[in-house]
Amino acid sequence: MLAELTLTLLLLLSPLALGQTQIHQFQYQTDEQFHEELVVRPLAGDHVNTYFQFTTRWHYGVHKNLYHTQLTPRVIAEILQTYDVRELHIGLTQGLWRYETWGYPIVEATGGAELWAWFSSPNLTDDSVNNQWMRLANVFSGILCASLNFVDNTNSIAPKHIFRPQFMESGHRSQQFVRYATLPREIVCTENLTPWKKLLPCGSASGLATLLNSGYVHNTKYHSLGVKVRTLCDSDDPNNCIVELTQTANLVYDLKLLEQSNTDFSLRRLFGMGLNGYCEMANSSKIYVQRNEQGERFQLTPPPQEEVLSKVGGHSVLFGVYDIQQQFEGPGARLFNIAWLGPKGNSKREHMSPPPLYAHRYLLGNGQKHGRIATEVTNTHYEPLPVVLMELVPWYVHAYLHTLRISSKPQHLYEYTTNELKYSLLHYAPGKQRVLPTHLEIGFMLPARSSALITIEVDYLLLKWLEYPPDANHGHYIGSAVISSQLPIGRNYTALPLEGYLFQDSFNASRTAYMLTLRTEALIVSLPTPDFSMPYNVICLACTVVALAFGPIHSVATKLIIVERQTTIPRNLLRKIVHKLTTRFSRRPANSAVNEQQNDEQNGKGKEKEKKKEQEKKQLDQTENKKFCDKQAHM
Amino acid sequence: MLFKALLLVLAIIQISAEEYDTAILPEAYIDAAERSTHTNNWAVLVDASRFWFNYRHVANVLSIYRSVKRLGIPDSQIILMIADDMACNARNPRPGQVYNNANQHINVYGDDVEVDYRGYEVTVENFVRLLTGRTQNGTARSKKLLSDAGSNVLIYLTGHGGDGFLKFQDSEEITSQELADGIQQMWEKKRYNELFFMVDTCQAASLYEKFISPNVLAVASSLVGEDSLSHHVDPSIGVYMIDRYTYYALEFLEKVQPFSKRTIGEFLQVCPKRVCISTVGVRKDLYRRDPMKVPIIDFFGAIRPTRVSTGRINVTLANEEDFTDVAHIQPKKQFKIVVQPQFIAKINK
Amino acid sequence: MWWKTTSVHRASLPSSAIERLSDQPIKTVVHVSIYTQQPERAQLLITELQNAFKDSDFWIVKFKQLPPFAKAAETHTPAALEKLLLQEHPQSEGDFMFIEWPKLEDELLLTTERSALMRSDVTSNKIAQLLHSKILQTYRVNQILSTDERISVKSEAPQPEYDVVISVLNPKPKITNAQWNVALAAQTYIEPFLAQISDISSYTVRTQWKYRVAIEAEMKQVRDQTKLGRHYALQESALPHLLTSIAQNLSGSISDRPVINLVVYIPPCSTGPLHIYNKKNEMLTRDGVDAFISPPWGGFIIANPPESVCLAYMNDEPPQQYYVNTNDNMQVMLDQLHKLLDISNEVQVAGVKTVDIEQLAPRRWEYEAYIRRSAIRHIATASNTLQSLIKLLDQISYIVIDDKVATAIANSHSDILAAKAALLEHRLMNASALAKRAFVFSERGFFDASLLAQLYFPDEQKYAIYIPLFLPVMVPVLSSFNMLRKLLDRKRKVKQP
Repeated sequence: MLAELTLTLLLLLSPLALGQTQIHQFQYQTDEQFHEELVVRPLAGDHVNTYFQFTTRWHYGVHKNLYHTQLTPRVIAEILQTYDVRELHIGLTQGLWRYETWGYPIVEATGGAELWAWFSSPNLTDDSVNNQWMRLANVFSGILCASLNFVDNTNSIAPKHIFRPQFMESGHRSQQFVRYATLPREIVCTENLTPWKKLLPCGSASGLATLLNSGYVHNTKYHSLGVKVRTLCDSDDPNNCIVELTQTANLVYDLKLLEQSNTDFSLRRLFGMGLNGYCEMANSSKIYVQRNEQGERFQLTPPPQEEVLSKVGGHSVLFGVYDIQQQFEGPGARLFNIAWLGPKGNSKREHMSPPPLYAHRYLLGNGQKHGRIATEVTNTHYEPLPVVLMELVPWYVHAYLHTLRISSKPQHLYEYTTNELKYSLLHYAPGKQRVLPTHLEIGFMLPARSSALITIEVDYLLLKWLEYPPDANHGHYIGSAVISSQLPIGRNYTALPLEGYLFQDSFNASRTAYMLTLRTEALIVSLPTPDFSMPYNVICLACTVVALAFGPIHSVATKLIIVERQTTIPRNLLRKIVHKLTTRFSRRPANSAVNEQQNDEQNGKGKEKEKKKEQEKKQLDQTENKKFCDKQAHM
Repeated sequence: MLFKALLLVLAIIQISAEEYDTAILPEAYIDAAERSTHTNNWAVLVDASRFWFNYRHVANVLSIYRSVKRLGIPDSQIILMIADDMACNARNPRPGQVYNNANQHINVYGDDVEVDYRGYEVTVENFVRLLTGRTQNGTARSKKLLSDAGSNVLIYLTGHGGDGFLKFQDSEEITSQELADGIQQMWEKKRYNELFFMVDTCQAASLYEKFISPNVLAVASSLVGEDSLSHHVDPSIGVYMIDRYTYYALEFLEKVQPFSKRTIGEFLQVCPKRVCISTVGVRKDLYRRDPMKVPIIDFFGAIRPTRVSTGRINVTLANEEDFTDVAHIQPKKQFKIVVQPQFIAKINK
Repeated sequence: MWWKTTSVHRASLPSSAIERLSDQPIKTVVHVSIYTQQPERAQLLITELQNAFKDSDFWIVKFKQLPPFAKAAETHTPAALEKLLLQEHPQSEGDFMFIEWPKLEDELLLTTERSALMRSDVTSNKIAQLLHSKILQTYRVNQILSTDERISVKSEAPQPEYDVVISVLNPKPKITNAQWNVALAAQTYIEPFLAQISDISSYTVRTQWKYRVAIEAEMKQVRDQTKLGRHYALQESALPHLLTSIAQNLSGSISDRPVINLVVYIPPCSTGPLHIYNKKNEMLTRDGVDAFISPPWGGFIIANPPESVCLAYMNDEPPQQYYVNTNDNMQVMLDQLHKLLDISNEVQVAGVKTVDIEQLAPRRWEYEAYIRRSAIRHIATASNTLQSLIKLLDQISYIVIDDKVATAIANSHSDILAAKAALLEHRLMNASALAKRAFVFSERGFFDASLLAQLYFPDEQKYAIYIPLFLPVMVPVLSSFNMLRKLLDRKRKVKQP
């Protein structure tokens, strides 16, 4: 309850209350702001985390003002006008965030593409939300050059407990809908970075975004591009709204990959060039450098202009701050660079203690028929933690709820004990082949200093021929699980408070509890895969077999077998049987039946009188035929 | 030729109204007719092959992409289809870069690239839908070929082909009949003015054999019965870099500048048999202009006819001060940001 | 049976009726009335004009003489006379009227309404010429309906919806601190204007600012007599390239509506003021306007910063904040919109003068000519679309035709017929609405996503798959037929003797 109260903490926001030095007043409207921020955090094991955040915040007021954009990209305004979307998150990520050694990231993302959105409007139905959701994904597939158009109802779910809206509505609350989808296979490359940069007011022409060069960005261990849009409306006045667009780029460099001989690095080393200025449209352009923990080892040149000590939940972090706008005051072009000089010689690396909660996921079982999805959540904290886990299992994998087990073990033990944890929350929407994915959410308390293993048994489906992707043997993905929890301490916790929108808003933002979400690894399952070069061969082979079988059957069914009378008694037993059969068979005249049918057809059109005549004639024919056949048979 | 068209128009006007010679045609028409018959340019560039060992096909298509972009076709009018990711492939030692030769002269991927269809989206169905304009409801604007009767369209295909087909993603094929049908449907709906069809694949000439639509100029890297060959291997990535025909085509295009007078006829002579090993096939019978007189930027560049217009409509609806008056704009009311609790409290019990 | 299972559903279509669409030419009825002081003169003009329009392919012009009346002599202004005439003889859309006004300087003077004043000595030839070139715009209709692709225009039929995007480009906001309430400007000028011409298309106006846009064009410095001592020259031939570099930077929209771009470019003082020069090195600036258009893409205005701003820049003073002049730029933009939407008619005829527009709305006759032309264009385009669609559906036999497509085609067809009839019956606005609907339906039918030939089983592939099965199977069947034949032969032989 206390946590709720603090989270609903009221924060008065006015553009100048945040204490930015506004050097330039280029905007005609002061209700639109743009901020660029870069956070550099040295991580354990020669890794460096650089986090870019570009925030455009537009207090647009009335909805019709969305027709006239200045700093906010026009497409975002158009989306707000066309769809009833109130909050939108898109992440495009390559690589895996290592919680145990790197701590928590500032923004969470899962490998591949992930998107979720909140829709809200009076008279909105589930169907119209589904429709809007698909169209929205299509729109962003065009904007960000990603295959987000693969998002549809077969891989989207409506999470029930794990996501809460971060937007604000005015007046009476209309029903809110959320949709969530991941595309774990999605790659992230220059074609995503290019349009992402084009959404910025200065593009890639100036400011911190000039540092994001594709060759350097993609040479990292982890890179994640994010777009977050949310609307905040005055609860008393629906014509007083804010739209907030936050674009983030979270990168983790491995200094060893930069062909570094020592642990020194600099902006130029990381991004290929120094900074050539700031975005003219920005209200603030700042670089934050973490000075304590892993950052303690480094000396900075030039030294930061000021230092900020941020205490969050009993955990303090020291940041050095560079105000880029001040750095570039005065005429003349120059490049700005920050160098981190590590201690000379081989220094002992500080051991990184793992964060309070982390998770892993793997696949158990063998063969291509059954398996078990196992998710392991570890709590290193001295208190029990509440955990909610969400699974999105694609339709080609069947999950069975009755096989769901949560076993636990204390942290120091190796084996899981048989005692099971009780879940206090369960939401399960069974999947449907080719129509719906399986959606599972469970909530439970994870005891202090222990791990929980959540397993569920699954069956792999045999797909239809055309449902296999061109590289079917690569395997099929199961997206990562999403885990959320509430931490009582702020260790390793860097996420922004929801009331704020700048990185500096996280300074000294102490709460009684910290909302945490984690993503696990995605899984690859190899479904039973046929040999695709076979179909035509199979057709030919099967057809030949059918044809071969058809030949004799046809002959037997239509032809008369003529027995030579010379040798009346066959010599051996087999021939005797055959002989017996054929003689019996030949007594039943097959040809007559055919003739009868033909005659019938001809006569069908005739008149009644004629019919009688014909019938007589037919009988005659038949007898004649019989004679004929007999004659033949006995020849 | 163009003047002839102009004269014809004049003649018709004279028929319909006497003493018409004093009338002046709208400027735009003369302008467009003098330059060329097209008003905008589109490019559809397709790499149909997946898998790392087909690196060269991606390099092929990116070479053409680089050229058309450099010569002025905006990204919104280029439809780029790439069936697999080479630049950020884990096997690429130079992430985010694709080169057209082992000496790494040209990074054809560049820093500014927008891929419209990628990975699994590159299918025969999507390609046919793109050409015919019958895209699925809700398809993003950048994934549509919104060409019109004034568009010059460049279509470039590369991949693995055979007599009468081109393989997509190694799992399906587009046949020459389907291609011809697609282009015919474009023509019927007047969705192109002139079309330049380029294909770099084995037996490439078989793909344009069934074309019947007018104003189509086609060039293929090899004749029916011939294989198209790749240029060279880069030992550092272990695969072929680029195909011969596109390599020489890029070499030619790199020398073309936006104001260049080089013609499409010259371009058709690129890659003679001694360097290409295969014979470059050309189909001109559907094309009514002389390729030697058509500037290459008619297809690889983008020139919109423009005309200076300095007129104005003399209406004044408000005083200038009304627009600069800031006093009447009321500052928007600030309000408190209250966000719902983000964690479901039920579990705590 | 197997052939049946692979066959496709094809709804029936009015194919032959659609093919016959082009047999029936599009003819439009137009009423033209003539008022002269002497009724004999009007009579003479009408006879001559009727002769001139007798063989017209597109028009059925009905001339009408307005009898002189007593009050006419009392009027002192043409406007008053016109008002009186209109009271007596009201006009409907698309009609036109010639009023004799002896004191006129020019032979003919076109008003902004549906009328022209004529001098007493005007010949019928001149009137016919005016009707063809200005009112009916015969040459444009000819371009639309021509089957010769060299004559037929490359421009498109008006779409039902457009986005009009006004983009203000300020590439160097650090140097040029330009302020402009462009939203208010658009609401004052562009939106009311577009509201008046939204019979055929509806328009959504949006504005956006773009900063840091790279302009790729060569700009030469030219010495001059101003306080700055120089300006920059932009070659006319470089404009297309300038346009493509700008098109790269204007972000796309999410809808499928075509966009009309109106760009206001604020040159930074480092390359400003900027003026357009032609090949002969002449400055093309006319009363302070430097602008160009490229239909149908849009227009481009160079809004040079005021001298004082650039003077401050040259003296290394801090950038001066200034306001972009709204009235100036909006007047140019309105003119550009007239041209881009193809409403204004720029054909010059000797001896004919046109009254300048002094209100927001376009000239009435110009706008009605545009509606007439658009109706004809919509009918022509829809007919062509339907005909080619029918042709394709006949050619490619394995395309599914679902009921949705069939209804769209049928609706479009009936609307085309109705629109043609409306044009013949002198109901212009009605015809225009019907033609627009026919056009929308035909587009919907043609571009329906279900019309995908590729997904279905082409006959060749059927053979490829079934031949391995049926060829071997046919051998015994054929041989048994052979046997049957022999059998029957023998039977006949047995019967005969």
